[in-house]
Amino acid sequence: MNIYSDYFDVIKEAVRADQSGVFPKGLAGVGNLSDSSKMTFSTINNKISRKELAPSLRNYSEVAGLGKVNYNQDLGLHPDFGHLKATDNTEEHYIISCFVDIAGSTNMFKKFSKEAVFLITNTLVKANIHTALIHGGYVQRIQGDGLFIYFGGKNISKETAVKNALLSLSTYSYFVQNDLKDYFLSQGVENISIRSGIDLGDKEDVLWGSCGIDGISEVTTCSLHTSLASKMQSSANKCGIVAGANVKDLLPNSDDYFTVVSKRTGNENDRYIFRNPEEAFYYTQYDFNWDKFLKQQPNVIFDQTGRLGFLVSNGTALNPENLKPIAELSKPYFY
Amino acid sequence: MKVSIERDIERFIEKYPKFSIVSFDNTNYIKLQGVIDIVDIEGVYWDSYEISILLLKQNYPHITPKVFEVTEKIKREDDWHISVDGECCLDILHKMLLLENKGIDVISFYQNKIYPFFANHAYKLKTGEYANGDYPHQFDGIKYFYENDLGLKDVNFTIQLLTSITTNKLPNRNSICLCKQRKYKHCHLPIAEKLMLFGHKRLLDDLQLFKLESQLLS
Repeated sequence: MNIYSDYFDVIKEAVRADQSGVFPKGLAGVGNLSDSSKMTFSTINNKISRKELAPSLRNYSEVAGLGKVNYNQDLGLHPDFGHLKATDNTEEHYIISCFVDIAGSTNMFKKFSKEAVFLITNTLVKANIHTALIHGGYVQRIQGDGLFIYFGGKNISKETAVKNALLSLSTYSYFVQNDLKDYFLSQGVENISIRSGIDLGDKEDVLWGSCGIDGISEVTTCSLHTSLASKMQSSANKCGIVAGANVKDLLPNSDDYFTVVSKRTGNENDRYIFRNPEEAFYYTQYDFNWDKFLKQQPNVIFDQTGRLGFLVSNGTALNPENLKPIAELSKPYFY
Repeated sequence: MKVSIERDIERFIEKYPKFSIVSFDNTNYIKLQGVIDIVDIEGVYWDSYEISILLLKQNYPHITPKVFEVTEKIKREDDWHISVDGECCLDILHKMLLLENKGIDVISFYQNKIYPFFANHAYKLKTGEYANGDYPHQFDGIKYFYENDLGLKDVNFTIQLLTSITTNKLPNRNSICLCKQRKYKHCHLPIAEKLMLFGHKRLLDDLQLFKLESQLLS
């Protein structure tokens, strides 16, 4: 069972509705949606609850023993630092900053109506938010179809938060790389991929505070490493994750998963994402091999061909007809 | 190009990371141990088994790997095609010999022999029967194989054919066949050629078993 099947189904339904002419193409003067189109739009948009994980992802989360999801969150107001809102107070505390973005999504406008693009984008955002939440992430900001997510807080170690963050980014990358990309390609939308940047700022390098004016403000971090995470997202390959040295240093057996970005690009200038020669500070950026990392996780499974999947409860859904094509290759003997 | 067991195992573990090399027995064997996840064609997970795979280094790729079920999820009974110590009888010996003669690689052996065996166990647990049936035990299985897979239903003729092959006294292509029906090349030549692929020793063993069976029946 695909843990993103419910999200994927909604995307496919939006595309089908668009192709059957439910939504007008984005020509000037088309006018408002008809009542039946509005109803279709609303029905598809609400297939994934605003309040809960979709069943396929919830099933995975429960089987994997991931933490209980805290839905009671507001953008720009990390629960551990909410007391700073609209004050002049600041606080130093470590945080992991992640930027995730769907690359090439603008191409969707070439093929689909704005209504369909909205439904697709909103479903992707929901899937991304839910993935972050089950791994203990906190969504700081939504940027189009991308997210700015924090991992970590006052009751979690940096090591655990790093692992959770990498698992979250890897799981979502898997969805985009393996399911979405091929589907969109089959619909004539090319070059859909995902790019992520992640970095950890230690306590002394991260200042939390309320930024903005009263109602127009958010509790956020001022940190070189938050800025670098965003910058590293731009350095990422298609479906790639680029991480800062601080992240690499906290993951066990990290040499198995990280390689310097300059090795991929062949340009030694890409080794460091930040240089400060005056203080002899050179900060390295790494490509993270999320596929290899996912394969080492306890809740993944491998089918006959070695394709990776996630362990979920199969309930009563076992259908022998679906196992027969594999089982009938065997005709055992006893000697 | 020389086939390297180490390189094949490395590729296998890269594809199936739940397996690892657990021991080198003197230098003759490599033992892989790990978990096999049974997932159907819709991606639905059924079960997992811990298994070990024993590979003889010396003759690789011309070997038949030994496969053991470690978790004891499979009842140690003949009808489940497993020995008391957990060795799994993946297929009729003759088909395994063909693979061995041709040469195996670890990944395709896993995908085509090992994985289907365990999928078939899960299938039988659910439905009460194997998806494609199973061979009867011991000589009955060999006889079944000759009858159904090779089309040799007459024991006396099978003995005659095996005797001719093992004594190198087969008819010429244009001579009359051993069964006296047609020219040999249009009759039992293809079957004889198929049989010869099993090797002299296997055919001698089969001949002895068929003769014994014939004596017991007469």
